[in-house]
Amino acid sequence: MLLKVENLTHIYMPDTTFSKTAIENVSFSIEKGEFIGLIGHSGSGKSTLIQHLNGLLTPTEGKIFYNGEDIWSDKEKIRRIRFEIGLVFQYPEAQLFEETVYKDIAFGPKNMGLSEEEIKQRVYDACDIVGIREEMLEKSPFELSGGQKRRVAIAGVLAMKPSIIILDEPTAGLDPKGRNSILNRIKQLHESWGITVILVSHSMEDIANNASRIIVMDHGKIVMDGGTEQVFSRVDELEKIGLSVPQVTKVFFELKKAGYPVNTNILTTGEGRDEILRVLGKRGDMKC
Amino acid sequence: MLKDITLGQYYPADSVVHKLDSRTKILITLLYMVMIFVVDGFIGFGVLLLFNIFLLFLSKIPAKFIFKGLKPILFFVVFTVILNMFMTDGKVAFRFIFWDVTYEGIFTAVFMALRIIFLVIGTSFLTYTTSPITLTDGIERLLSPFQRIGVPAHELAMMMSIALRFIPTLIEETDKIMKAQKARGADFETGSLIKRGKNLVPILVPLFISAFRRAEDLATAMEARCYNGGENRTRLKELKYTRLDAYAWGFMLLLFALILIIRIIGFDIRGF
Amino acid sequence: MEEIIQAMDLSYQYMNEDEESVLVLDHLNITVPKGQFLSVLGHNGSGKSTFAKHLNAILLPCGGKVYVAGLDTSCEEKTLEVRRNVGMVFQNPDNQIVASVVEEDVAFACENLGVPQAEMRKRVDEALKSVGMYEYRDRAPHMLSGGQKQRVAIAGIIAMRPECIVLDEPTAMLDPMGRQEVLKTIKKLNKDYGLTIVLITHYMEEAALSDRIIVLEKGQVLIDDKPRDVFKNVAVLKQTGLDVPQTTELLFELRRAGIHVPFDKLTVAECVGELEKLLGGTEKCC
Repeated sequence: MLLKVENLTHIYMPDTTFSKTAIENVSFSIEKGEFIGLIGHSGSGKSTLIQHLNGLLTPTEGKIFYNGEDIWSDKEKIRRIRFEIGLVFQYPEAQLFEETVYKDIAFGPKNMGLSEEEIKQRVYDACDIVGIREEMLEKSPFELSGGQKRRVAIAGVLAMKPSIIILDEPTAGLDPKGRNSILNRIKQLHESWGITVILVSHSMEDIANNASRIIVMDHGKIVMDGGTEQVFSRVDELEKIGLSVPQVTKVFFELKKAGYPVNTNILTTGEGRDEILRVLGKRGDMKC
Repeated sequence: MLKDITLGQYYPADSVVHKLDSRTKILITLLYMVMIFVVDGFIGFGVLLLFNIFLLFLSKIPAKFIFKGLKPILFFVVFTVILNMFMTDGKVAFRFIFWDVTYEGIFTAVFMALRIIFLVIGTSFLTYTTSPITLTDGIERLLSPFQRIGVPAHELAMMMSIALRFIPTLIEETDKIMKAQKARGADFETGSLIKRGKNLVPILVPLFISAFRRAEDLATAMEARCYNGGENRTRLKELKYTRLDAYAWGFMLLLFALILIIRIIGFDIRGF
Repeated sequence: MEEIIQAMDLSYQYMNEDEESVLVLDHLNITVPKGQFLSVLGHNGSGKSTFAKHLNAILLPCGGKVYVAGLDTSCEEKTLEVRRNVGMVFQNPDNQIVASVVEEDVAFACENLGVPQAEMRKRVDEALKSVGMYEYRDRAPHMLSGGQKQRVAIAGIIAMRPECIVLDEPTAMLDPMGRQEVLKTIKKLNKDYGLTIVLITHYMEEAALSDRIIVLEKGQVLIDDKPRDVFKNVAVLKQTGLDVPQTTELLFELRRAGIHVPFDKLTVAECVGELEKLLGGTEKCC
């Protein structure tokens, strides 16, 4: 087990009139190499949860284990955990500060105390995976376009070579082209580096296209945790808490409801097309 | 941590103090400051204490808020106390290691501490009971007679109200940037003073860039909403003096007279 | 029908850092009749935001003319009049709120225009009610959600009593709930008050709600049609880097697989209806 969260509770400003329980008694674990989608509407506790995973917030109660070790067992070592569990915040381009793209991406590895050689290697590797060309490395990050800035910021976290990467809405505010390109890079990253990914997103379509497991949060609690098909089959429950399923999945649920012999475990338009063709084909065979 | 700062925040409530004209409140606060420095003994401070308790009661602000506002200046108060205690000449009260502590020192220290505390508490009533917009409105009106001699009253007031509006936004932003850099292994807690100063660069640069960006956006948005400087503007909430303001002034002048009398007659307790 | 916006032969260019001139709008001709709900689509850099900024004289044309309610935007004395007629809502909800109290922010434009106090009070209350934020009038804007902040911004525009509202990617930074709130508000203002709406967006689902869609590409009009007909051009849209709703895409994929279905269907219900027709025989025969 790579990461394990046990009975995690977080209360903001405890013992005051403003005290607010953001997450309550949350437990789950993550295996190496998983691609997890974390969904829930704003205020459901998603961001509080992910900030616990790399020790940016301290639990009010409960424990987090990384490779079997309590991440808060030694306060001095919490920085090391942050190199292992990378967190990319929403609108991460807000964190860019260096004179050049290279230096900015090198900030994380430098904090790790690596050699110049190693840092260089890591910067190049990170750039390669997010699609930043070499000639951009000496530019100022502030000259880049929005989509490029976003990639540089993500590369800045990847350069630490974490074993888990958490991305909070990595495509927010981008146009469809930029959105798809970032998502494809993340998919590639998961496949070629074998890195464990936790993707926070409001787009059910993006989650369906990428994640193999979904964790659903509502009012600070985990209300569903399971395979993508399984979670998206609980359409009514999801809609009750203000979430949805991918449009195409919804279409097949409606068809099933109307009495047609279709499968409902459809997540992408490609699968949808094949399913319709399959049902039509069957009819053809029967030669009515 | 950053969210603990309550100084300079507005606490909406329905009270007579809230209803006072902001000009009255600003001028009264100035008068109050004068009073703090006129007072030079325990009876005077006792009168001020009663006045503050009366205000607390009138303004319906939870006492907790007032005390929370004191937290950030605690260090400053302690510093003043220590400085005054050890640096004042006079009759020796006791010896602290190799420093003489004098009676005069103790009293000056206590008076200074009380002055700072009363100053903060009293002025925080102004910001707690006056919305930033009416506050800046009041300042603008009070300054407007000086416009003829080139004081940019409207511009100053607008700048202040925008600054107040963006404080919470920027605090939130600082928090977020700090976390993002921490996630990349930045360390703000250890190292020498110089190193710590240097470590702030990854926070300050993004913060400045975002602030400039916001300023630019805001300027466009204001222009798009027909902002055209201070001329011919009207107000949603026009300032208007009411009978309440007259009462407040009457009360404050009486209080001021009382404090002056205590001072001039000189029967206040300034030591043993 | 009376035209509220007329862009005639509109061109705009600027100098980049390398001293090259970049043409953002290329002899654009767009007219918007009163009361229409128009969506302008395009990927980043297509010129859609630049176009929006011309509609209330934040930018002035390098070539051609823009008329708003009959006023020439490049005429400096008319700038205020233009901006009173065409209000603008921007992408970042935080960066367009001026005041620290909701109702005072809504009043900002009216204050600038010198609207008398009693009249202003009336307008502010009405505007807040029309976007469903009246209960929040005493709140501090930074305590609101993104969707609520955008509604406050919209109320601030409505209080000016404009003819037209231009919204420049108002939902790009919002969560799905906030997006719903804002869209519902826009749709309602268009329907109930007959306000002309120009919505700049890159979300297809949002554009589908409008009366007309213009797709911009390299500063020129690529498509200008009703939503239904725009979505027929799935291949073209994808090429310009835009998405189509999954329902449209599903039908489009079936069509490519040789099955004859119309794919100008936008909603889940319409798509289901179409597939039911297609699968109709399945049940009958079994």
